[in-house]
Amino acid sequence: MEEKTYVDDIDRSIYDIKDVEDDDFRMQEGLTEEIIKKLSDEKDDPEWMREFRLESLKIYNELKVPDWGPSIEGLDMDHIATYVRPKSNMENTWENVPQDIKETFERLGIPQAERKSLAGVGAQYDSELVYHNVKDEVAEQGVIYTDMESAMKGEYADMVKEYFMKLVTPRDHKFAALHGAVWSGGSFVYVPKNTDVSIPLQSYFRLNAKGAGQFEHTLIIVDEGANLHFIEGCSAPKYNVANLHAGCVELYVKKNAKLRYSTIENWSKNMYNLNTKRAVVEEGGAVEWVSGSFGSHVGYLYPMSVLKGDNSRMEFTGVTFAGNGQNLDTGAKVVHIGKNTSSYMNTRSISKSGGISTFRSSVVVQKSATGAKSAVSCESLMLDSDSRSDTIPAMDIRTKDANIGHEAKIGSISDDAVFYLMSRGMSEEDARALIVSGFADNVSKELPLEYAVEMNNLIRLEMKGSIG
Amino acid sequence: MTNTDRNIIKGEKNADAKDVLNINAMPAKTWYWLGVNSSDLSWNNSDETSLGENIITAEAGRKYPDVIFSFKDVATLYNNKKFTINAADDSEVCVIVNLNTINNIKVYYDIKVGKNAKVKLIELCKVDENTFYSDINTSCEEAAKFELIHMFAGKGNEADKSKMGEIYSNVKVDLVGDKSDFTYNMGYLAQGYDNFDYNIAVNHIGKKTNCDIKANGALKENAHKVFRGTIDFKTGSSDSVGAETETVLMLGEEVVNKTVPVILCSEENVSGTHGASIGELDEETLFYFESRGIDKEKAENIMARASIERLTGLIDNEKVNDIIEKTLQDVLGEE
Repeated sequence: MEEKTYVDDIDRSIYDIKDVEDDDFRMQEGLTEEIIKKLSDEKDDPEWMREFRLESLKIYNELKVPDWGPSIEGLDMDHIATYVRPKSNMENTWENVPQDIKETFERLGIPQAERKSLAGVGAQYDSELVYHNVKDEVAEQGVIYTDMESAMKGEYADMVKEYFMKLVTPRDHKFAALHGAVWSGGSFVYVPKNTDVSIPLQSYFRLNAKGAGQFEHTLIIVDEGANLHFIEGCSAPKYNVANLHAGCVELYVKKNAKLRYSTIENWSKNMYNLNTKRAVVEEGGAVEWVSGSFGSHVGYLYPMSVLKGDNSRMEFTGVTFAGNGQNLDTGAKVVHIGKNTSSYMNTRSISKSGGISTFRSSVVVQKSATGAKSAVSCESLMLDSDSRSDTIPAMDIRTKDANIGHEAKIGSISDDAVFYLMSRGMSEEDARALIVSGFADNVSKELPLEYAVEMNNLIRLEMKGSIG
Repeated sequence: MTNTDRNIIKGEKNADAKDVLNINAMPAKTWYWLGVNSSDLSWNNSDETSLGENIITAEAGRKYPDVIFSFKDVATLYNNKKFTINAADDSEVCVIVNLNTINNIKVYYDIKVGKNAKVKLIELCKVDENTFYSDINTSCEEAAKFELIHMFAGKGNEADKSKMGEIYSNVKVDLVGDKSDFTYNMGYLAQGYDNFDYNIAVNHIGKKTNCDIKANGALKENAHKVFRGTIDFKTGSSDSVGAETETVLMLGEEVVNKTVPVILCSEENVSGTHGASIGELDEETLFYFESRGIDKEKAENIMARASIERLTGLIDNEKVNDIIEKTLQDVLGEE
């Protein structure tokens, strides 16, 4: 009988350590107008935000649950606490963060990474930021990196009001509306004109509370000629009840600016990850998405780029690993509006042990986008026949002056490649491990070294052969 | 399967007091805002005339000469027609259906291809200001071969949107038997306000099954086209191979092209690929033509013609190839 190779699930032991829940405040479960008003009171929202939340709730109640993706029947909003405030104020030194929370982030390597390779860090625990700090030299460049609540009420209030949920409106889909109603936490970044932030900023989101939702909002404005790399990480311990993540990321990339947005998503396998990310790119600007999706029970994640300005461009590089009990529907969307815009998507999906991975994409080239170029390349690897891997790309092209290419492959590990490596002295197990690791290196090679190592740890693929 | 089982008839009538048939549904849905999950066909069921059913039976072990059906003068505005093709084991048959009518017609096919049998279906369709809907449902047994060739040509009316030609095509092929094989070649030309809407779904069920889908076409002026192609590797279809390629030549300022090449896979040991290339004539090709004294407009017409003309190389029947050439002359107005 053919020798079969098994790939172990991701080792989640670090991520699965649960802290004792000792919240300062936990909102009652469910989603009603009263709960939204209470949340608004707790957050001390300005009036416009209170109204925005209530309007979003109305929209949420009007919109239908999507029927084109993975089932989210297991998600019952009546049993989700939309706001959980930890017993900690936002601090700018780790010493002042409560010991248990600090230890959690230390296990995740965040303070260490901050010291070694980051220009600033925001750490969110459940619904609130517990730590936010930016290096002096970056702050001196005029870079603003703060939590969303402070930005909304302070010096940048007008800017927040101008940009908040204008790119992803509550009408976008049901969970964008939910986000508009119950959002809390998240980061605000403003990079002034012609400022090059040479080392990355990072936000890390940790959801510890059982049966809770996390709805952080990230708003980044990279002004003309500026350059930023922003890294987002997330994790949660596993519970036997559903948790929900419905964050929202809005990125404004101005003329000739460049933004790289990297994500390593490692939510626990009870998580419904219904996140929305979108960038609008002006003339000569560029957005680069690097995305690793490893966690979650169900995921809907398709970062979208609107190439509004002439000569703007986007790149999306992604890897998705769906194991037992996971149904991850991931991909990207791009809309070409400006002239001579370009987009490139390069993705890899791995499915094993009954996991379901779907690559879904859309490339829309509007009539105005003459000279547009787009290329999509997606590859899927099936490691067994208990799993599933689907590829559902779509292209909508409305100008003749465009050059659009698409290619996709689905397959298993090539016996020829294994044979070649074995003929060079490798064992079959090592050969297969090398091929699987190499398959995902489109993402790891795009990350800073420390994060590439973290990602490779995440997909610590222990290969073992068995006969029969 | 009856004809009415094959479409979902929506309850309400549309603004023209016609029935709305929901057709060309993709096996896997995507975002609704893309408008590709299915299409609505405006039809008049109550005034529909049945043109009857032809049953083509190929007996075991026999090879038949080509069978040609032509529809030119269909009298009533809405019509339906059915073909049933039963090819017994080891038989071989080629059926050609030529539709060149000014009225609206739905054509349904039920095709069974027995063990080691070969069925070739060539459907040639030209629309003017009318609507054509073709629905092909095929099942292939062990080592069966099904070859489908589609020519869709629209005459196009650039001046009047209300006079657009519409073609809807739904193809479903079940590769049930081991080593069964499906080859599909489509060539099309849509002009004026023509609206062409295709849906192809191939289910790989048996082991070592193979499918190869090639769609080439050109869109001129304000033409609108949707191509949905799904290769579905079912559990158990090990060692199967599916490939799908589409080339779209965009020649009009107002053309709209939607392409959705889907691969669904629940079997480990398979190979599925798809590729699409969409755009106008590339500079290299244009340079080649211009260096031989052929201007851009003429070069585009040559390439548009080639999208369909390539089909003649796949058809070993002079009469059929004459029909294709005459259709091209009719819709492009030149040699």
